[in-house]
Amino acid sequence: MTNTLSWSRLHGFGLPVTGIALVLAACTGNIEGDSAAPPMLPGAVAGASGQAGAPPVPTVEPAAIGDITKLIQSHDLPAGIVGLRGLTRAEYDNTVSAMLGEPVSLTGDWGEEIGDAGGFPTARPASGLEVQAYFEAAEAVGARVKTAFKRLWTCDAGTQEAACAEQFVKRFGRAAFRRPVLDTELASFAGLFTTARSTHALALEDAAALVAEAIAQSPSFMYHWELGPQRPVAGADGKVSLTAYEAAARLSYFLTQAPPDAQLAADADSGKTLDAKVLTGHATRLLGGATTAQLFELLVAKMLHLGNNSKGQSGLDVSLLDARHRFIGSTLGNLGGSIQALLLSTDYYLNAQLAPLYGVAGIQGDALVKTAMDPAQRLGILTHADYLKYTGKADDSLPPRRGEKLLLEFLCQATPAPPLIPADLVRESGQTQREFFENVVEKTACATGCHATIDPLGYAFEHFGGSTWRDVDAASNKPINSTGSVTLPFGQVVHYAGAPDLVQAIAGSEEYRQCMTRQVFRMATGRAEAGYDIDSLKSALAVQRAAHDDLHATLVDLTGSEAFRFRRLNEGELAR
Amino acid sequence: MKSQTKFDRRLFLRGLGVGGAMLPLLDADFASAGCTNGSPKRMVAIQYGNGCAENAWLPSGVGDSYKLSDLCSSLTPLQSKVTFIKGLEYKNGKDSPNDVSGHHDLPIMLTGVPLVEHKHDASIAVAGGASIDQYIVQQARLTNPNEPRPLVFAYKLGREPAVSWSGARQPVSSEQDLYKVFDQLFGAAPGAPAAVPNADLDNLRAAKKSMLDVVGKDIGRFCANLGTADRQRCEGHLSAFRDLEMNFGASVSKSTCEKPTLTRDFNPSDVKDMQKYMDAWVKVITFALSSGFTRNINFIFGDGIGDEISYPHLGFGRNSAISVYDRGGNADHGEAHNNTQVHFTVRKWFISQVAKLLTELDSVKEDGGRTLLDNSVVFTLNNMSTGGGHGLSGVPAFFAGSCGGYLKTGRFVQLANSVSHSRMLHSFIQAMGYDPKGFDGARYGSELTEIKA
Repeated sequence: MTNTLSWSRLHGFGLPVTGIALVLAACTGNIEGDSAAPPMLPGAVAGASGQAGAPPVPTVEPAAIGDITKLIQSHDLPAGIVGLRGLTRAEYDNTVSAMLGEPVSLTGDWGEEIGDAGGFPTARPASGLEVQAYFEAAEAVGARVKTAFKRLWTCDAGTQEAACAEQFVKRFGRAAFRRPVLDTELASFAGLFTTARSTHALALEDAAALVAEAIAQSPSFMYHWELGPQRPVAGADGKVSLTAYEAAARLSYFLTQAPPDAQLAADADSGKTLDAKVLTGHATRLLGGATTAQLFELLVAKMLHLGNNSKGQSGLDVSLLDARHRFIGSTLGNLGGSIQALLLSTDYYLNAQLAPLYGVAGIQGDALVKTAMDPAQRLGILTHADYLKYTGKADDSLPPRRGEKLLLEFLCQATPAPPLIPADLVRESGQTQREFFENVVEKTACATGCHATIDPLGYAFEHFGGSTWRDVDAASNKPINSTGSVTLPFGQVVHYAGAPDLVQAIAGSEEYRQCMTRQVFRMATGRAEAGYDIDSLKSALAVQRAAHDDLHATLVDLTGSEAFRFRRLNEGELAR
Repeated sequence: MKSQTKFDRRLFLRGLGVGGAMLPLLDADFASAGCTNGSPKRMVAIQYGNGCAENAWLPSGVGDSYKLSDLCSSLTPLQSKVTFIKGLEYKNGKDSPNDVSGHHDLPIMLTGVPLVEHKHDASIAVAGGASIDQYIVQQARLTNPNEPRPLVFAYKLGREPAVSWSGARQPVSSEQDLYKVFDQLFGAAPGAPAAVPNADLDNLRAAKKSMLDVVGKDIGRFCANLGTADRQRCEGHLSAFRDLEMNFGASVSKSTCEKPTLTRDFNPSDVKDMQKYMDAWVKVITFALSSGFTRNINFIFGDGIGDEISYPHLGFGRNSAISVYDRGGNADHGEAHNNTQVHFTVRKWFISQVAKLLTELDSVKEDGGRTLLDNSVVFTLNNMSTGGGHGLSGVPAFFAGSCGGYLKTGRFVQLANSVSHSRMLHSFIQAMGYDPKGFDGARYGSELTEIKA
């Protein structure tokens, strides 16, 4: 008699690819130390690497792995690349709102963010259905221009219509492209206006709307490429400085998911945003704004590969997301917050839907209520119900996946891609989940491989069958065993009795601190860190440490870094 | 509800005070593309995932005296128009970087060259060339600029890599809402554009074409300055944009087809309505091909791993008689691994849906005593051999329809050695009347003569 869980069924986690692949992990990890010692986590490899739409990573690119403080800046390549990337849904709506001077949401039915599955870059160039969606949205932009025509078509009395059209194109295009409209573009769009009026005899408002539609489908609007249709300039060292407009846009979209505001745009016009101090000054200013909470919510969602949009969700899922957002806001989002609070805070936010998951009674209604959890059971985001749900199963644990996610997301250590394993190892009746995986490790080559590394990290969370606390394994009726020991990547041996012990050790570890620096770096640059980024990473890490691990400081420092302000030429790209 | 998207957009525009003359033309233009006379050749690619054991899948016997397996028995009435092929291999997958193994490597299925980027654990799989659906259209447009674009759609593909590619690094998204597919084909049922005098409509169309011409040139200038990889992606955008532009070339007045109806009494994204979805799926594909909206369809069922799919109508779902495990009640993936009865039941059901489609296509009479099926090639491909093995050799595949007499049907072809599936695709390209040379440079050989009539 066997239970329903088999080795092969582990493929069926129903989870994003990373988890499936890594749980089947190949047992080829470069474990160090002797067999009697607690397992040493494998040497780090480069982390998040983007997705199909992300810039390709040259094979010669040096990896930035290990302890940042001990790494040396590489000069094999001058800088990282900046690949073509489309506006995200939020960025699109915010940019259109800036163009129209009023809040507009046109991406509501666009579905999931495209190209969002693999890592930090969040949008890819348009194709097929996206082009159609952009077309339809552009029509809506044109329609709005028509209805708001008097406000948007500002022209001095007595000015010729053609001159007014040019003014409109310059103003509307400046907002759309995040840089001044070039002469060739002006001629093209103003020419369209003339054609619309003379050849097609459209009304003035309709002609303006048609021009707005064209601008709203221009790649200069749809892509992060504020350089315009001109060639970049590479320095003697091979570095390409972002233009003042590119730098301003990069900063603004990174921190606010919106185009530069008036102050930042003015500094871009005057070229001041080429100065790192000007950029960091704006970063400090923008981080004091209302959108900072969303920035940290996005950071954590990206880092943990969790969804961040309640659109299309209902009930419990919405509550889980809202509760996570509130928690992130209270730990990372406020000035003075810290990465340690993210892992150690026991102040959760519960409503009547969530309370049963946490075994808490007496909470009524939909409103989230700040609730102190028992620190012997729940600490920080790692024991939040949605994270446990994401890393486990609906009603059971999943030690390899939990360990692999912890390793990847909080310690920035990736496990190698798994081999193909056709074997059917079957969980026998009477076995706990942990016993099953211990059996896997014992009986297969995985004994010295990835499972030996990731499973012990996951065992600490055995008290969570799904999202809820348990003392007994329901399938086997055996008491839960959540004890174990691991060696963190920099050598610290951790003996734990359960999740709180392990979480506290990780929260206080240098590995976690450096991982958070890396995670912010990846979000800022849209790519994985490499050897030529070491100086930028070191600076950000030092600033973070001095700020008692408040990530606001890390964010600001990175916006002034070389990694943020410079790039190298892409393959095949011609320089002036 | 998702099906109301376009309708809602019109309401939105009307709410902004937009008059009829500025209402979007896109739906009407899509709807007008069709109703071609004659009997053009068509192609339908049906993809699905998680493999199937050969002993359950393949027929017995050889040549034209083969006997269908129980799993494929629903094809029996059409056996003379169906050919099974044993021995196909995704050689382009084997030559791709980082151990391509099926699940998330969907771009290998309809292309003929290795992936240019692949990281299985991050679900990154980037095609190195065009997929057959896009390639055929590109070839067709060399002589007929008005060749309609392929219809690319999916059932629960999720965030998987694209299955349709207009070139290297140029993904084409699959529409995942069947109602939207229908609306694109035939116009949204509710809220059709207000009546606009033909002269105004033609003038507005001309103005829009002027606008699109400006944008197209703008995209072209933009792409030219990018690096190689970005330029390839950008050109994919331009290509898709040209498709859009072309749809404005059709005249509304030429539409003579009777508009079909689709009863919107189900949720296309709810597995509980899967059977209703598949019934509508048969209808939509048949209409799309018979109306001439497209000659070329690319469809995939599921996400290559089956995580989003359970089959409550078959009794396999989270709350069904057989309670399947894991998040979402996945009934396909794990069962395929273990070759369980659930797996075979699910496969058998899916093949029966394909059989329904083939039957429907065969009921549409066209010129010369042939049927729509006779003038088409409908082929199925799985992304791996068996669910447990994840192999790239021995891929379950069959096709139906002779594509106007070019292909030999009613046979069980057993290839002596593993043969690249791209050779089968070569045959289909040639059956459609085009030169396959540019598809993959004959990297793995040329046409599969064993299936040529």
